[in-house]
Amino acid sequence: MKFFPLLYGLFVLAMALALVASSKPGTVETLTVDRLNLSLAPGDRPVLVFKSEVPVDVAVFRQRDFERGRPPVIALPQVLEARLAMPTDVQESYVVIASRPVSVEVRPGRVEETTQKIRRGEDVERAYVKFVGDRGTYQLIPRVAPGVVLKGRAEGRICLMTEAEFKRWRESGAVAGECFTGEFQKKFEDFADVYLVAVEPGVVEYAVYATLEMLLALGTCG
Amino acid sequence: MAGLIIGAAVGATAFPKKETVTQTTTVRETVTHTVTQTVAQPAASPSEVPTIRDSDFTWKEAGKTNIVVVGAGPAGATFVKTLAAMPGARDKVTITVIEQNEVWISGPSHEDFVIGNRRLEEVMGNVKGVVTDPKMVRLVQARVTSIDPANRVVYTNLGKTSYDLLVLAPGIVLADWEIEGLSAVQNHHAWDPGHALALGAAIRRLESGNIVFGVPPAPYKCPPAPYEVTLLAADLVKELGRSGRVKITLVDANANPQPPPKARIFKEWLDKMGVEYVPNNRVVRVDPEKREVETDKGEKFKFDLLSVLPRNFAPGFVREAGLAKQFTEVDLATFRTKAFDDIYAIGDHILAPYTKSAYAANTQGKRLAEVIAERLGLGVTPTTKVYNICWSYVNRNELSVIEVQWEPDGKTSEGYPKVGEPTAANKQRRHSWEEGLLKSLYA
Repeated sequence: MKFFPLLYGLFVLAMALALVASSKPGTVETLTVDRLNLSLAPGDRPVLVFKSEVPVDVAVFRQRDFERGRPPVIALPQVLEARLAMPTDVQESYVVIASRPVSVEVRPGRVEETTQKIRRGEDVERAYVKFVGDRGTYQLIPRVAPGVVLKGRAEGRICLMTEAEFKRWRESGAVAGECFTGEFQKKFEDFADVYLVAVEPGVVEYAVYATLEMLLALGTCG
Repeated sequence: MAGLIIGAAVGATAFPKKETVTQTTTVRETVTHTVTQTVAQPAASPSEVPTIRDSDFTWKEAGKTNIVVVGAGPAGATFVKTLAAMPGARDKVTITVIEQNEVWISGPSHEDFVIGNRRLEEVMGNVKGVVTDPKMVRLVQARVTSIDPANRVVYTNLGKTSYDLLVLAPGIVLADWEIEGLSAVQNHHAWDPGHALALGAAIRRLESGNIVFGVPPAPYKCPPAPYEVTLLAADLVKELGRSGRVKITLVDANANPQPPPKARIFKEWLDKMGVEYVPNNRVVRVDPEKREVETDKGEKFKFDLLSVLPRNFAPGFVREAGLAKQFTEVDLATFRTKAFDDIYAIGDHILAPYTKSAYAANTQGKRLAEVIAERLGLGVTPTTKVYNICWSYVNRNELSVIEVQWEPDGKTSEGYPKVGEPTAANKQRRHSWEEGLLKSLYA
């Protein structure tokens, strides 16, 4: 995964540049930064909105993982635009690192509000990403569940791979899974991690939605 | 050979040889299938059980619905006892309960076994206690091997039985097969009483080194338990005066401790007890030689003692029958499976928002008894709502509490979940609740 060493290098650069901002989910502001510190309270669910004219690598680390050199929670290569929901049930601090200055807006929100919307039958966007899909670029969509919906559009060709298919692809280059060109939509029926892999170049955009069916499958209150 | 002899002896006791006149008739139930069933002698005395004939131990009496229940844990046992207690049930049903174990050891107490708060014999119920009326209910101690939903047959290691209605309450299995190398090392978790005892003993033996706990992605059975066991282990290590020498790491596939309403409490206590908490990391591989676990993010952790909980699945015979992928798919209000309208499923193995726990299983059993009673025309309307209460250890003596109730459509009822901070008083409440549950199921 060539992405991570690049990010760590850029982190050092970012520290040197000290182009650092801190944000809390209570305010809506657009910043242009390559590092953002985000502090969340239990029950917060802000949405981070990234925009860039040129492809930018974005990674979100838990503060503690960042300090210990551990992998990020979210890693998105070659992003042009992204909206990432960041729900938390605990006090948590995140560090957002970008490979170049990027416009970031923090839209406040609460987990409870989102849960109520889903219970009313509304689908809620968990993530939207528009990225430049060079051949071999991939993105992990973690912890999908029955009822989760993926919608998107690919200029080139992308394949949705299970963990086993992704592993085979990385080892042998064998393309597997469900592949799409143009508009695509998928409703998941399993609990799994899945990968979106660009096999032919082109801009890709996708959104992941939480649904009532997902909420009823997950059972989050227990 | 010994197993064969024991099996034959058990079979002979459960199904004494007796001449039985059988006849064959075609019965149309209010379900989608028309089947041909074997009708056994109707007048069984309380002490008698039907005979095996042609490997078949079907208990079918004229004019009665033959219900087969797989599993006599909190879900299955509650269903049987509730239905059997309903006025008029005796004239309407025969119930065959298939359970492989002779006793049920209370699941919630498995954590207590790790730290020595309770002994097995204190929380053990004899499953024969589900047979409150032998003219209506019988217990067959056998292991289910497969189900044939199209022909309404359950196969076991002691023969087969047909059914008119099937209730599946077998619990879950742990997907050891998903974690590469796991079977090559000792892995003691708290989802089995013997493993829980072994885990406690292993912690006591560990003078120094690393203990690694692993949590699968939700949903899984007893969501708070991995955090409780970790905290109890940390408490035990502290008691033994080894906190500086024994490091505890909790590798969690989830972003926060489970269930979400208790996440803050668990996180605070994990920090307080010096546990290294590593969220968003799922254990995918174990290296037996290096004694190291690896996560899906490529992180590696050395261990001297390992306690990883694999993902939970419905048992193989349920999945192979087309009723489940990972969990059994049901209608949330009636527990009728989505695949077959003469098969119902309750308990930890179903795909539902209900907590996979003893109490939630208990209330599902009650509700299903009402659903079936209504279907059989016993004049009952389902009113029970699925409910759960869990007391969760943060150390040997203090427990937090959570209560949740669900509406029949699966949404949480207004005002729930309710969460209470850890207190010492909750320890006795938990023990009293558990004893009450055991008595209601198996006394």
